[in-house]
Amino acid sequence: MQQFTRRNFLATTAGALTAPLFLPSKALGRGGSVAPNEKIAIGSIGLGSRGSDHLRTLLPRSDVQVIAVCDVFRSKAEKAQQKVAEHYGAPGCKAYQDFREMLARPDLDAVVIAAPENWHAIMSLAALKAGKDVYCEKALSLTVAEGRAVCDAVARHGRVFQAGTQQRSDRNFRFACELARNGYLGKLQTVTVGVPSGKRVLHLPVTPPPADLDYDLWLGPAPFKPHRDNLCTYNWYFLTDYCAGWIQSWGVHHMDIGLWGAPALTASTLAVEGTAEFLTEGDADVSFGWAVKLTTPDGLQLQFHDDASSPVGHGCRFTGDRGWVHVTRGGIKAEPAELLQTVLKPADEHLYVSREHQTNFLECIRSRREPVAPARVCHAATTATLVADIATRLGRKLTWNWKSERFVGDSAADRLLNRTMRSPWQV
Amino acid sequence: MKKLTFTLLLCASLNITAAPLPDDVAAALQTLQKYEYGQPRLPLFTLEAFSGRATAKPEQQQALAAAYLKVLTAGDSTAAARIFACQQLALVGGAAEVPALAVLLNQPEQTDFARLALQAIPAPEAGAALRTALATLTGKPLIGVINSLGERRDEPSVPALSKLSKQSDDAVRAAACLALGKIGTAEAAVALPADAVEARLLCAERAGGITAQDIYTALSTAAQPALRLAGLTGLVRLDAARATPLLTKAIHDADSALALGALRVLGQLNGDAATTALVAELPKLDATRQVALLVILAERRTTSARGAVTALAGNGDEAVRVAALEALGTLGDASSLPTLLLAAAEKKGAVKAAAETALVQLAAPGADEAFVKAIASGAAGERIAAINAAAIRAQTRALPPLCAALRDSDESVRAAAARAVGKFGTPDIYPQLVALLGAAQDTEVESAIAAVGRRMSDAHARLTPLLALLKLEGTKVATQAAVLRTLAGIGGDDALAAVRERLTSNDAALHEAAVRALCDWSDGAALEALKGLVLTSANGTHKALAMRGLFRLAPTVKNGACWFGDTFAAMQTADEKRQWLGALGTVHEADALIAAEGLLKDPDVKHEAALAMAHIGKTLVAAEPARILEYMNAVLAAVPTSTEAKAVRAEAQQALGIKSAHSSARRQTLAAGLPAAAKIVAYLDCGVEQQDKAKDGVTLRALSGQNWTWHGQSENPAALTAVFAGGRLKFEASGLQPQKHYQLGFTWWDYDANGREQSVWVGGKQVLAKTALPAWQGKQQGPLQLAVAIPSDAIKNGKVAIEFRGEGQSNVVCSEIWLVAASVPFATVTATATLTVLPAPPPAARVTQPEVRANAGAPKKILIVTGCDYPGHKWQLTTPVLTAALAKDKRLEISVIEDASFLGAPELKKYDGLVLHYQNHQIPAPGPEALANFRQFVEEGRGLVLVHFSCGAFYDWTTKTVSKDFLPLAGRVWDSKLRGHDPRGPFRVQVTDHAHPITAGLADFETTDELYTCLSGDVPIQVLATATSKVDKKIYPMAFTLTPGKGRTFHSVLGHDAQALGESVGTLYRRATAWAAGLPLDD
Repeated sequence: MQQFTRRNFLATTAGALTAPLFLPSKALGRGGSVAPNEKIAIGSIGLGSRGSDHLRTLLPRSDVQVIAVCDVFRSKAEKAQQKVAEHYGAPGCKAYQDFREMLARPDLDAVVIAAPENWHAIMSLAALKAGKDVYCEKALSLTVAEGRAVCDAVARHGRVFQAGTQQRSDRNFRFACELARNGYLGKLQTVTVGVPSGKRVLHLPVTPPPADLDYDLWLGPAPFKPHRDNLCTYNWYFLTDYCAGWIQSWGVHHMDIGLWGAPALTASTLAVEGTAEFLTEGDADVSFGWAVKLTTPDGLQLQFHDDASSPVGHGCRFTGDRGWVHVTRGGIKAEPAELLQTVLKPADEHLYVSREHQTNFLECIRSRREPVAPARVCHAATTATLVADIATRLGRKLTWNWKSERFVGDSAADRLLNRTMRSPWQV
Repeated sequence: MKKLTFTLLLCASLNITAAPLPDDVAAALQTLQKYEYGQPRLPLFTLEAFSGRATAKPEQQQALAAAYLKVLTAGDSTAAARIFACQQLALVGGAAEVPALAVLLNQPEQTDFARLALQAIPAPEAGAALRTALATLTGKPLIGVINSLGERRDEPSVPALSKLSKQSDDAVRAAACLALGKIGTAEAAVALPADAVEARLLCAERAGGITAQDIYTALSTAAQPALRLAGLTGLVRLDAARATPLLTKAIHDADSALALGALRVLGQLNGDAATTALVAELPKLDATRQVALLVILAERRTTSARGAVTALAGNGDEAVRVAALEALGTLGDASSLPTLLLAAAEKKGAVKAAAETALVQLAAPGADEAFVKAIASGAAGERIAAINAAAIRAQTRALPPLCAALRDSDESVRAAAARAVGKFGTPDIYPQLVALLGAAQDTEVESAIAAVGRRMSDAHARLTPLLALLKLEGTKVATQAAVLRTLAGIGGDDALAAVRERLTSNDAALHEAAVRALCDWSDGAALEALKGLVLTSANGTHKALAMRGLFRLAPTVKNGACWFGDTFAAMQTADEKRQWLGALGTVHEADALIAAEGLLKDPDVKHEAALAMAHIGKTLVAAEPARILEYMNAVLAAVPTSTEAKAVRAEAQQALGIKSAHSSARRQTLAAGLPAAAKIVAYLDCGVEQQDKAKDGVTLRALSGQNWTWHGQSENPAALTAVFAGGRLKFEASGLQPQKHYQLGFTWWDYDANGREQSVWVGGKQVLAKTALPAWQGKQQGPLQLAVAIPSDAIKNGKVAIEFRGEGQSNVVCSEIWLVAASVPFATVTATATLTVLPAPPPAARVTQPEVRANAGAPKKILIVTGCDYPGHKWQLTTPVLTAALAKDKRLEISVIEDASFLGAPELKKYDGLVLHYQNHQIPAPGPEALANFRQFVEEGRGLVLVHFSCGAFYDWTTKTVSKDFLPLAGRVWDSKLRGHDPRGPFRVQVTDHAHPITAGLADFETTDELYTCLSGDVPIQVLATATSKVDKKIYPMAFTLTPGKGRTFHSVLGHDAQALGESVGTLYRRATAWAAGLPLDD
């Protein structure tokens, strides 16, 4: 049984009331550096391209101490450990190959998870149960059932969980959703979401895994299949054993925005139908292109595409009977253009303001406030993408019920909401 | 008995036994059985697609499940096939499949695979099978079965799991506990030990009632704070009212995480009890917790906390104040205004910022009236805060007090009021503002007048008060100057007249104000007066200002050039001329060109003149290409280095259909490289030319992309200009004739080594797979010229869409593109099937029957066997190049097949010679029978030509050597123990045997290729050519012959890619093929 000990952020001396040792979010005016016992001790799981990005932004933060790094490629873990040591000018960061060892440390406060999709739920749950707060890359999980387990665990343990849907901390996306929610576009009719298409995976022959890779641990819950040289870096995105493809892992970003701006989409049920194209050469077995419609009983429709087939290209567009707003990471446009000059009235709904995603996570760790992209929100977006994917594979119209988290009258579709994990893994 | 009969009847009525699977599915199942990783995915894709759809029809689903079961249980199925079958059975399997799956389940190595299906099959039989396995398995397989039962929420397994939860093995015990937790019945809860916290929490959530109550209560008094929090959270969910006091106590706990967590939970409760508790506790908490609670109260919109919140906003801990003030934005009402204003009046900092934010957000009724009062009176700082907030809130009801505040005794209040009025003031206050201007000059008021004036559509209403003020007796000069400045922003004839009047004023200050106003005028009406100033003003400053104004306004009116013409005489210094030219360059009229042309002769400013003319020319070139061409030639005569003028000239030439010199030269060069029957019908030097339209109607157009020029050297200057786009470059060819065959040629180059990889698509189908572009910087690779046949079915109504797609790191580029037409087909590059929308499965991609590609009907029949290979050898690209090289000998009829298994076919003997362009690196060799057939083919007296990587054909994957039965045919084969080859690069091939018919008369030559160093064998051969390795300095054979039986083999290791199959190597292979086929060779 784990010993639950949390470091106490408050000073225990009587003078604490007049001179608090830390200030939440926007309070200014504290010159000088942060004392060591106030830093948030973070461990990084997964040091591929995205994990390394996160490490790069964590290291310069004065309120964070990276004390552990972990990757199934021992060389990646060790390289990251070196980088951390160089940055701090001191040793003290430990390298791991097995995340379970890292999570057993009582001095770890929070983890950043950037591993393939099929690991998200397992690692998140293990961390939550071990008393750690979690930042986990999108999508929330590989399957809907796993996502539900994560949401329940976050609530059960009262932890802070930030999903890597960082667009929620981008002013343009928030503004677009505020326009949509406050009726500035009139009655909302359509939400169009376009994200990059899938990719080919070059077939390479079976090769033995490199010596520094714990391949069995890399596979984890996925069925045992032989190693190929391009498998463990990037290409797993396009193999259903590890991820449902960019329909899920990219789709979740703009789908999340779509749901944020049009909450009616998650209010009751959705009629889901669509088609997808698949490649027949190379190894990729996820969808390459897709076109799916998700419609509420009142007729509000989300059209979910890969951006080559999207009628409006890449990004998220909210269209109402008085105009539309289209937002991407590159910018925002609207018709009529004056919509972009809109100043929200005091009585309008103002959405959660987060100026930077990682910062928001760290602030919430101290304040215990729910962050801008909590598990339950990413779960909805992930579920929407997975439901879309399931509809394309079954080739028939489905009805999704948000409350029961099941399809209506389609037990075959329900089977696809979960997957068997290789022993001993479970969520 | 009865049951059986019923089942039989049911079967009969549903016709289960007679549900066949579609042919393609049945075929795919056959292929599946022997499937190994690395084989084409098509059959798996077919099956995956069908599995999904079959779930709509029970008979189909059952038939499919049975078929998968057959694959799973057949003795000779591959492991890969079995895993696939299990994964599909997860979707389509049913009770019928359970018995066989259960057998697998109980075999420890197979347990996980069987679970793939069993966990997902809803039928109770599956659960039963899993339960049974609990007794037979141990260790990891047992854990897997436990996990599956937990996922299934399988209640009948509770007794067995309870036993397992007491086992000594930690991992088994933990798994069993967790499974019990997921099942979550009261019985399950009873079995759980006290330390299985997670499991107990799960049980509590699922079971509810007394079970949950007990679990949560126990946890809520645990030693560890986190457990207490979990317990309290649970208790609240069961009975919020009863748990509220416990929570309220917990928010004072020493452990801050517990306290803050408890606050969160309490905050999520609706209802008065929670509200009362929260409000009551607020003053009792320490600073950190207060901050958290304040945020919660705001989110919760607990307006009853307003008083308590307000109490914390006034003074004390800064963080608490900030949180309290922010909370008031949501919770506050009119009565909160004083507190907020006081805080907003503090010096710059977090508190001030929080208060300002809250002031803007305040939405309660009565807030607006409160603002009105606050603006009217109070301390200056607070009034200003109210004024600023009112401006952002755009409260029109605040305008009257704001206008009053414009005359306030306090300067900062006045300034704030003016700014606010400027932001949202309405037309009706305009006269007041103007009157104010009369009373006291104030730049803020001026700005406000201008801002409000801009929002007024009635020009007369804007002007009249201002003009009245101007004419008023006793109006101070300073005021008049202020009015003049304001008039400039408003514009109009009357205003202009007023300004012009004062241009001749005796008062220097007024004169100056008038000049400045004129120079800042908002429209072209001021131009006449400005011209006058420029030409006649003695005051240098005034002239400069007037110039500035004129240059700004002239380009905005029609015939703007004439203003420049008229004022040229006044441009005396080079600097003035430059300013003049700079502005002239923005006038989009031909007259502007005429005006600027004169200065091309002026050595001080000729570069600026050139630039101006180029800018003007660019805007006019589309409409008047011929005229602009003349002008650009004139510019370049005076300033030959003007790149802008060159670009415009190129555009003009293009529009006129004049080809640049090097474009024509390229076209000729390319034409020279073609066979006689083929002609270039269109050519585009991308990056310079957008369209080529021939007299016979064939048009080639670039539809997208931007032009780019790399600065560097190249033999082919066209390669340095390119068109680029982010992801796709689109071209269109039209006017194509139905009876002709077309080939697409292009040059591409990754000059700046950006990792570019691209594919080519014609008519929506891929004709060239993802290919890396040659890179120049750092790698020294030159541009690559490629040709791809355009499939006839891609041309519709004489049109075809051509697309280059970026598949690599960077964007997509193309340097040149052209079309070749001929009356016979070109060698095609086959596209492998990529896209399909179900239900129709795609057609097979490979050419599996020989297809004639060149010289149909010629006496000697040659077959190129290719089709599967290591990805580094682009056989799709090299095959057509090889075909074209061989086809130059008209006696050879060239066919191509992309399936090496044809080597085992009796039809092989119809051919006189084979060209082997294949290696089975990925797909297994055709097998010993095929090899034997192939050997007989050659030894009976026919020809064989081996190209490059074919030395590795018939590779045995288990022994990792080339089959020894291939050696007598090939002479030498790839030896994987030897070093493979030099890095690809240039080297010299030396002909060593000038007597042999193939090489008689051939000179040594240079080529760029991989110099192979990996052959071995002891069969006697005649070496025809060699090369020396740059790596180990040894000499290696590049080409040799041998005579197996009565046959003739020529074997060369040259030809890694299209570039390596150039002129000399192509000639070598052509002569070799003719020789192998038994034809005489003449030089």
